[in-house]
Amino acid sequence: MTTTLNEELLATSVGVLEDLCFVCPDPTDGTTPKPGDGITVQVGFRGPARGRLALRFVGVPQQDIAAAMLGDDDTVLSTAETRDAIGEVANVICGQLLPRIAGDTAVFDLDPPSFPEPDGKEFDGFVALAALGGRIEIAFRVEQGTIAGVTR
Amino acid sequence: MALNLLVVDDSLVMRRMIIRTLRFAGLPLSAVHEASEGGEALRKLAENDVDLALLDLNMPGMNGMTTLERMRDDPRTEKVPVVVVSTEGSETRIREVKNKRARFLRKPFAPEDLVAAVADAIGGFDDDDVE
Repeated sequence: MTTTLNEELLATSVGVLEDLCFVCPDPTDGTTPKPGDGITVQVGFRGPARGRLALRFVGVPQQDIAAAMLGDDDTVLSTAETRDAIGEVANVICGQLLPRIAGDTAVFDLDPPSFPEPDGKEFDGFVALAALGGRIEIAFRVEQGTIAGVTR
Repeated sequence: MALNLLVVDDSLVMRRMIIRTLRFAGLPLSAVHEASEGGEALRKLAENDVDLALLDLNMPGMNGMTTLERMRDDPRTEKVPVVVVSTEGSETRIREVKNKRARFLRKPFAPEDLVAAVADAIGGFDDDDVE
């Protein structure tokens, strides 16, 4: 992992969670995913390099995140709507992160969010945030090419 | 003048956020059409009068850039104002968007920035237009 990548991952994730979800997360300990039940949402990217960004929510009420995005605490959102919301969070974090680490002239295409099972692959960047009584883990992996000092 | 709006984004929650923001701002909205990808957006444009389109870039199916190009190539939609609302951060691609005569607004957006982009795209609105 590179310090720069983790710093950018942290700054981007905190900024997006604050601006999009009105959540104020705090950095917390850990350099790898913690065991426990959680839901993972992933966004792949393709361009000068290929890879993915994954968010894992552990003990975080995702419905609260979705409701905050909509500014509507009263409506009960479906599971599909809630997944849609956290997918959009991952999409925005990935979209904001890439120009910060690859330069603002690099062009990337983002895949639609997906909800994979953990595959055990190592990450090149990782930060953990405490939020809403739970933990949000954000992981970044380069699959092919060079980005932020990582080559694979 | 009430606006006929087309909101194109693969995220249902983002479409709702956009529509809700514009309604809360008091913009007079008439019909609000939604599409989750570019092909559906083009069909909605063919079937309805649309005064303004808000368009995401990264979508499954037809992406936003191709959608915008098709719109500009079609005499029926070439003049429809477009605001691209995207997480896109590449200056290269943002320039491409602007070259296609569309405004660009980056996600996540502040409500006032969305309203300002819409006002700019449609040539402004008077106080009488705000409900």
